[in-house]
Amino acid sequence: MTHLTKDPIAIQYWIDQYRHTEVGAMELFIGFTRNSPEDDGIVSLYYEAYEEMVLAEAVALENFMKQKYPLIRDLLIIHRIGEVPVSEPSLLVILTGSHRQTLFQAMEEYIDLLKKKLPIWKKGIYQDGHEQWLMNHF
Amino acid sequence: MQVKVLFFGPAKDTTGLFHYSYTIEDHTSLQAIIIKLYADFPKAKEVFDLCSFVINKDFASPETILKDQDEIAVLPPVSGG
Repeated sequence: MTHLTKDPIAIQYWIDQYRHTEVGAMELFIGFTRNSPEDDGIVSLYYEAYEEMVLAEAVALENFMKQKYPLIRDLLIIHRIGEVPVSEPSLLVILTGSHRQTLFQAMEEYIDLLKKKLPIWKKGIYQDGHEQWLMNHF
Repeated sequence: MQVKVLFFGPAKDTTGLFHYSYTIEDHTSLQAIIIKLYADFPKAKEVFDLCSFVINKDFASPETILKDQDEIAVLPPVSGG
């Protein structure tokens, strides 16, 4: 399942949603807005999405992942849109399965694919007031 | 027939528009609309050069013939996550 939200991501809520008697392992990835020295004074990121296409592409991505990693039980992407200040989560990804096997590898691939395929764009908003659309680096 | 063009990310900022409409004749291709976009928004050329163009959320070849009410989206390189 994939959701886009303008609200802060309720991480604990989503963890609880995916607790299940069949789930022996849950892997989480949380991406934050950061301002490290190479980020030149970012105060927030602004995310924009082609929402209908994000949801369609996310279903295709989920089907691909389930075929490739049949041991995965659940896949969840929560992505913020709008402005996300430094230190707030912009992305939550959850994978669950009965065992931890394949979850780590699958998470790496899932994140790479979502960053390449989902039509979402981010703009850096900087301390000095300027704004700049950013590219992903792989 | 009418088609709608949606702009996202840097394409939206450069054109200054969320969307734009064209009235088209029968058998107009996606490529014909792309040529119109370059002509109508010359300042966006550098952005358009990097963009993909999709029809109704599906990637389409430039030769695709458009239908009434098709929605074309101008997608710069994505940068989610």
